[in-house]
Amino acid sequence: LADDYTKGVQFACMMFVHFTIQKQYKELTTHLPMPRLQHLKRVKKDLSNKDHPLSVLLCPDDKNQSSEDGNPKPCHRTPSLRELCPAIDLPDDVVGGTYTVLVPSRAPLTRAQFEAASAVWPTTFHEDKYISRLLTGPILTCEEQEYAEDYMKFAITVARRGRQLQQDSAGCSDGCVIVDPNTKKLLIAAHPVTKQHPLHHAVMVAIDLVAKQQGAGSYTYRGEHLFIANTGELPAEQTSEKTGPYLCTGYDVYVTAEPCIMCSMALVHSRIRRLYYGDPSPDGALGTKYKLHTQPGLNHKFEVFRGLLMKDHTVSGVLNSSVDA
Amino acid sequence: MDNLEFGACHYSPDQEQHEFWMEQAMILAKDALNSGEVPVGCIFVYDEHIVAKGRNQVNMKKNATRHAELVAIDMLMEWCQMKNVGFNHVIKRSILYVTVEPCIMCCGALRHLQLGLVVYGCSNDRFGGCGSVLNVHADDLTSLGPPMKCIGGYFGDEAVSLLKHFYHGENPNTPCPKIKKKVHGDKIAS
Ligand SMILES: [Zn+2]
Ligand SMILES: [Zn+2]
Repeated sequence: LADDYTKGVQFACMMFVHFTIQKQYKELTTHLPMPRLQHLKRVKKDLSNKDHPLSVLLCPDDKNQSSEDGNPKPCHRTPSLRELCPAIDLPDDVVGGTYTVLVPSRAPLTRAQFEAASAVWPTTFHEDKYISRLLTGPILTCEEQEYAEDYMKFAITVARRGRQLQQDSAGCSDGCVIVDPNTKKLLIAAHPVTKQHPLHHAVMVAIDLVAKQQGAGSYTYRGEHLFIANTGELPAEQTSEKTGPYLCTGYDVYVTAEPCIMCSMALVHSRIRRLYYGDPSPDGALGTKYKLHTQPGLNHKFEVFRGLLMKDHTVSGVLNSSVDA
Repeated sequence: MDNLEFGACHYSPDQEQHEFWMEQAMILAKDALNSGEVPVGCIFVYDEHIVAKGRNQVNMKKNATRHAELVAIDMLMEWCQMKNVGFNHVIKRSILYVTVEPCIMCCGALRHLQLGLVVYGCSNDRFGGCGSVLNVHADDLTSLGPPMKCIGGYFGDEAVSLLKHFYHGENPNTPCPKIKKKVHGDKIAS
């Protein structure tokens, strides 16, 4: 998940005016629309204030700087409503003073952020049920977890076989398995072939093997150097233009270790659905060095699950001990 | 005496030569456009000669990683085998001319290989790895070795107009054209 989900509430300065009647507040909003900060409710009721029970947000107060501790630092006088917007013509007894207040600067993403934000100013919240489930409950269902662990174990088997064949391991992760989650079919299993090509990390090999299954692909891998489980032959008519699968759209990928920046971006380009990886890598791009799966601006995002099978031991621990044995 | 031993990129072209090489890369980008691929082209220059060429082949190979840079890297490997010279030695002393800023993936790949220098045309606001989205060329990544030198801005406008030409039509293999954003200015995808 992106850091945004776990961050505390951030504030911005806004001016507000004390106000009497709900009806006339319409006139305010037409003269002073609030295009930014749409998540804030415009009006806050304060029944303890007898004369002006309503507080209405006017506009961002750019001259006052928001401070870290949650209190506005007034460095200039807040202008009156008349000074702010001369076009609004309202009787004096309706309009109270203007003040500057700190409001949450961004829409809350989680219930916790919503509650913290609402304590400051009324805020709207569109709960993302999926995100809430991720934050509160077990992320994977038992069945999903079981499948995932099986595929990860298979990725380790592939990695082990790769090490035996290559005698050394290179690239960001030693084994990669690609699965179609809809049919629960294993499509590709690959290990790095970096002796023949420095960029043939397991992920890059696997992506090209998917392309090969779809009737294209770029490389011929010499069989004796590669252990490929190619069980998921696609029916011939499915591989035809337009109706066939597009790249790796919707597929799940399992790798023994966190992919490097090249492989991670290759997975973004390939539009996978979800990635499971075992151990973190020092220069890993999905949590350690970068968080590419949450990078704003990229046209595709996928889910990342770290540390499958890590409850008792690391994937590399399993891998090393089994290679030595 | 072998002047290649004086460190990476012994050959340092001037402005005019940069432009000459970039024109060669532009020809490949146009070739990609004519084949219905995202118009990006590149060449590797080593010892004042073009030793490898590449252009985008994503649709042809049904592999989203077949960017011009990776296609050219494969050709460079073949060239090295043919000439019986070390690939690592050559790529460290080569210059890549590419019409669009390398994406995050390609930038990672080029740093893995410790390429000498990248010269590119327009920036890549959607995927760029040399400063536009991430700074893969310069960030501290121990496993990828030292930072990579990049220069941008050669024939950028021409590269942008090729991309606009491509995205104003439709990529026939993308199933959901509605998610493909219209391209403005030098916002592009590769
Ligand atoms: Zn990798
Ligand atoms: Zn690229």
